[in-house]
Amino acid sequence: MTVCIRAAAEEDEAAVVALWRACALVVGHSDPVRDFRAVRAKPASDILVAVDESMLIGSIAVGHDSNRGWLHYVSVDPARRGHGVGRDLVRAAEEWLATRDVIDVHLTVRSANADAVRFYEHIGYGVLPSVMMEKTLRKPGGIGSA
Amino acid sequence: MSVLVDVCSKDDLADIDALWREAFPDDQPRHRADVAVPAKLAFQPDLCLVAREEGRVIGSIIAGYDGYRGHINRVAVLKTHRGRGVGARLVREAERRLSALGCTKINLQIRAANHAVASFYRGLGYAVEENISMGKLVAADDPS
Repeated sequence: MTVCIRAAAEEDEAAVVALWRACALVVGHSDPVRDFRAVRAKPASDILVAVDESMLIGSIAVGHDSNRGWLHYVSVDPARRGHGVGRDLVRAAEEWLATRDVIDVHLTVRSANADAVRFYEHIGYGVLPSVMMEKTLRKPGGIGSA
Repeated sequence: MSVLVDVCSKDDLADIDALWREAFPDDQPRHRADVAVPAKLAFQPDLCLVAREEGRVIGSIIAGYDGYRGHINRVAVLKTHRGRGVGARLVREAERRLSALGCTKINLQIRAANHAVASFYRGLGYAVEENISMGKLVAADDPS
């Protein structure tokens, strides 16, 4: 298997969104098409994809805020797991961050996803003693916004 | 006495350093003000905010946007100036600026045992997520 990792192109949108859905990463009110376009459009983030010949089999969203790098939407086609594609995607994202002088890489995993925790521990990540809190912001210009 | 929330400048470095030494006494060197603030000012200067009273820095917040989620860090208020809503004003201004960049959700990390801080953020509309946070310092890793 010769898997190539490269930055996602506009034409990859449908395949990447389908992959995120297949990996059950699209939950609640999230809008994967909006996320794909926003992450690619912003200056300090991008989406990388793993491609085997012409088949898209994995993806990762990577970005940073100068303080820290973040990984999101880490996904590998369920039929293509166990061959190091996820590890190679994470490594490529770490290199993407390192070229921007960001060495502190964070991500969050759903508490029920013990397989994901094991995967990240295997590739050098540790569980942090912190709790994540989240808030959804009102849309700019929406009712009640300042 | 009026408190103003504004972007910070290099002239605030000494005040921010003193504020952070009080608020985060066990900080790692790479998070110190003389390292972190110039890096942020070079990258997203409008997200590095301070609260000032009579010209003196009494509070700070550093917001970040990674293209997918907004983050807020370094939320600190001088012990002598707490309980007056300065922290809440800093968080609201960071939210406003993140929203203007197109950010739809903010994630923040707090220490698991810090109930007072959790309650502060709950009051501002944040909820605890059932997630596990993981991290890695890439430079410490063997690249093999």
